[in-house]
Amino acid sequence: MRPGERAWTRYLILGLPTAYFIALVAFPLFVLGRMSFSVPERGRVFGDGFSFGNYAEIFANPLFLETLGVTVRIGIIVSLCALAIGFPLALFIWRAKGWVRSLVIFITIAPILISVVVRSYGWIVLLSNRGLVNSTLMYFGVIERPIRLIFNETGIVIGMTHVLLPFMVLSIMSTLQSIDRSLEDAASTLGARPLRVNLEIILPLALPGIVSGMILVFILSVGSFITPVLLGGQMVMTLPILALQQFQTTFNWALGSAIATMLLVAVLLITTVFERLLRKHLIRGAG
Amino acid sequence: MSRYSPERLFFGALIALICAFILAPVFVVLAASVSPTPFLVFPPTGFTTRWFTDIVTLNQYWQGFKFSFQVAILSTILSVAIALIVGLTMAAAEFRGKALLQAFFLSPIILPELALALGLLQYFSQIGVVRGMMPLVLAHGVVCAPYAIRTIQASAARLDRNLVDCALSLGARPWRALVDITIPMVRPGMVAGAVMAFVMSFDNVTISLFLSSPGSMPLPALLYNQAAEAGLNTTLAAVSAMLIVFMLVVMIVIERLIGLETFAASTMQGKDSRA
Repeated sequence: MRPGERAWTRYLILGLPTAYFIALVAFPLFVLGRMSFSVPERGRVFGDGFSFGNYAEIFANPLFLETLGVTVRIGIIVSLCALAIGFPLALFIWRAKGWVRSLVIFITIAPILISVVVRSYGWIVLLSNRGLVNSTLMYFGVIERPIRLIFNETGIVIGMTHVLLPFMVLSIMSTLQSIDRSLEDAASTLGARPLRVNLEIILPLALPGIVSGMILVFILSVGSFITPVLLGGQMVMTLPILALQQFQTTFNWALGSAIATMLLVAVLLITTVFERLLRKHLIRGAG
Repeated sequence: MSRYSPERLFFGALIALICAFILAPVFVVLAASVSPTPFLVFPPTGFTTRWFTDIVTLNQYWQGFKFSFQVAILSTILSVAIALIVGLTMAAAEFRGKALLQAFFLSPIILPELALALGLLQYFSQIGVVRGMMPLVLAHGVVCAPYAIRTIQASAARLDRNLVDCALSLGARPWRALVDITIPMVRPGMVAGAVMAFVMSFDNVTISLFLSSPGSMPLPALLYNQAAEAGLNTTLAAVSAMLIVFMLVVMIVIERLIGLETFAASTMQGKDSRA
């Protein structure tokens, strides 16, 4: 068999998964985008025609801008929380050896396997007014009446940080692995305290992983609705919940599609443009 | 730096606290499933297994579990097949638009799953696809395959192509070389990818919620629906506890097959090709 022939069959075989992904990713997203420009009709879930009406309606509505604000705020706070918890954790795993390392890796990875719905139950049991945290604090007399930890933004931030933490840790770990360990020894031999080594030597070197981890956590957080619905308890409105309502309760699929399309475009812009810019800037800054 | 400096102790305590935060919701579900009150309170009030006997009478959860399991197995097979084709052909080829195609294959990881689910819902109803197991498997395949593609590509990148060329020049047919040389060498990536695909399909709520019929729903979507509509009850905690135990079994399987640390490492490999 000549090499040219082999390459030809290779492209033919590669066409199979490409066609599958076009049929089940590109087409559905195209249909979603097309639907977002249709005119909603009473009594039918599908719209017809072409207009910018849905987008005009979205931007004219003050509720939408408020919802956008809440969604972005939750996304930023969650990525900061994930960083605050994830950076020490990644640092610890990077330095640890033997069974301690294996155990902490296990604890970090294990939640990925457990359903987000199941974990939300856990937070409801822990954080509600009659839940474990409040009843324990009241039993020991720390507080007199329950503090509200759930069915508000606090609950969503706690639950979402828990769900997205492994992504942050894995992202930071992947850059930590390329750091020369002797830098750390050099700094401490020269008398730097451990905290200073961590913040002034390791942190800047881990910056690319931190930035892509934060972007990943942010985009995953603004697009998710399971944790926000279960831990927000209908009290907090985010963009995905708003889109969901158009599909499940008001049956205005055209408007729902417009909200989902904006979410999609925002995520695509953030991942392609923003990340590339930040990376370029970081590399120039470091070099 | 002494072994027990205050900084080290503080750092150790911080890590212990973080681990407690990670494990808390999981342990609490297990505890709630044997507690007599629907809300776990302090001090604990007792121990009961009656919620578990409830599940046995409620057949729908068992049906949901079986359905999830079947969908996850089929999606895993589909994902690994797709990932093998993508991983092996792309590793050996150079062509224009390769980076773009690569980004396209990995895009379901970062795209908002809700947008994809809503698009699929409208697309399927427009072309007249009847809800059922097969459309669900096809849709799950698309969100699970990227994880398998990532792990198989990481294995394929370390593959020594000389071995394949040797086999071919010694007269082996291409498919022989594939089955006897290439596939055994990317096996670690295949196993890690298969496990990730299985977990991602088994735990999926978003796609399942929109593409399955109310009569036959995967378990996580069923649990989500009941929690979103009626809130927490202890039967749901018991079902959740059983799901946790099931995932512990999956973790033991991972540990025996490839080791959890290898699994963790392979889930983060090739991450940068995402951008």
